[in-house]
Amino acid sequence: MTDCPRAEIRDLLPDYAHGNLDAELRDEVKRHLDQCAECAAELALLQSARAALSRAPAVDVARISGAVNAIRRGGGRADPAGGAPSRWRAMPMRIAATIALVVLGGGALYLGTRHAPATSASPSGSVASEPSVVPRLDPMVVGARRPIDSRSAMASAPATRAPAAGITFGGGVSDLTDSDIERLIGELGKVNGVLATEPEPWLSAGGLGRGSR
Amino acid sequence: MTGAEDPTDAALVARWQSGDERAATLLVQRHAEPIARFVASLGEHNDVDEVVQDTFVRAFSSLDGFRGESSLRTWLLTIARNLVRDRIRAARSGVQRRQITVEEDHAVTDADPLETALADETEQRLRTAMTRLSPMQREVFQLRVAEGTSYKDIAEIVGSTEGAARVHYHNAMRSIKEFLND
Repeated sequence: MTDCPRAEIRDLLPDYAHGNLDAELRDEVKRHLDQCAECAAELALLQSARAALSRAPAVDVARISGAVNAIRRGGGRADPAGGAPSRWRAMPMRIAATIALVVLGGGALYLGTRHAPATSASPSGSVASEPSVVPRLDPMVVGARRPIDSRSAMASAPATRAPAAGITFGGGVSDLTDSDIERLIGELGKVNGVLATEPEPWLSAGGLGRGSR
Repeated sequence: MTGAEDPTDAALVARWQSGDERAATLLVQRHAEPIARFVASLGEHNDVDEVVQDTFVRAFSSLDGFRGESSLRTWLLTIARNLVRDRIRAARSGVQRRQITVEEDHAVTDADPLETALADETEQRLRTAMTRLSPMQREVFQLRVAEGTSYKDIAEIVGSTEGAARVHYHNAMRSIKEFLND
């Protein structure tokens, strides 16, 4: 199979096969095809190739249309995957969540440290531990091993609640030495009432024997 | 091929934007099949339906960015091509573990459903001949022969020039003829 030297006609053969030519060009190509075996053969090849390449995988028109219309109903862009939000679309929510976490954490830490003068002024026996991520506003929970940078604020800020006898406890009991534990138990014995962090009063009110099953 | 009862793409887009959801169905019916063919020709066989849907969703999500300098079909094909390329890149980088027939080594996969569906010997030989083309030649040939896309639009879709698209087409045709004549 050789090539016809009339490249401009060969260029038009796919358009001819698709019926994309206007009448004048179509007639010109047809006249050429009637006398050019090479171009006629190439056209036959194109038609076979088109038949071979025209097999399309099945697509679900209804589902695709539904996804497109979801864009309008949603008032914005729909998820291309039609499912979980994409990484980039979820990014603003992630940023907002991070900011909220920082603000809440920082605010809670600040409020927590407002109760900390007792810690800094507490006796040397104060039990220190790692600060929790979100310090609880509990009168029993004060202080941190690393009081961040707010010592001056801690010193000047008035305590809103009276600290409970200088007890500091913010981490695991396993961090404490035996003497620390003994001192802590002694301090706890002086406390009246129920700790705000206690969900159930059973232990402090009646010990293990009552209320527990 | 549009007539009084066959609204243009632009008219359908305007109808969809004004709230006519049926216009979307008509547009999908009109363009989904050529896009699916093109997507499959690029080597994406497993998730053609998903890629076609993504193509439409992306296009309709950013219709404001469509300048109308090309046809809607050309724009959709361009988006589809970019999506497939992204998926292939992701698969290569190991982010996405999917079986994608990458158009590099001219290999024909036995699992290709299109390939196995070709009963006619001439068509099978043509398919084999096409696997010998470079990826760019195959894209251009697919668009030119299967879809009747103009060189101008092909250039836009594949990010090239009309002249380059023409050269790719004729080189592809020459290569196929040579294979068939052997």
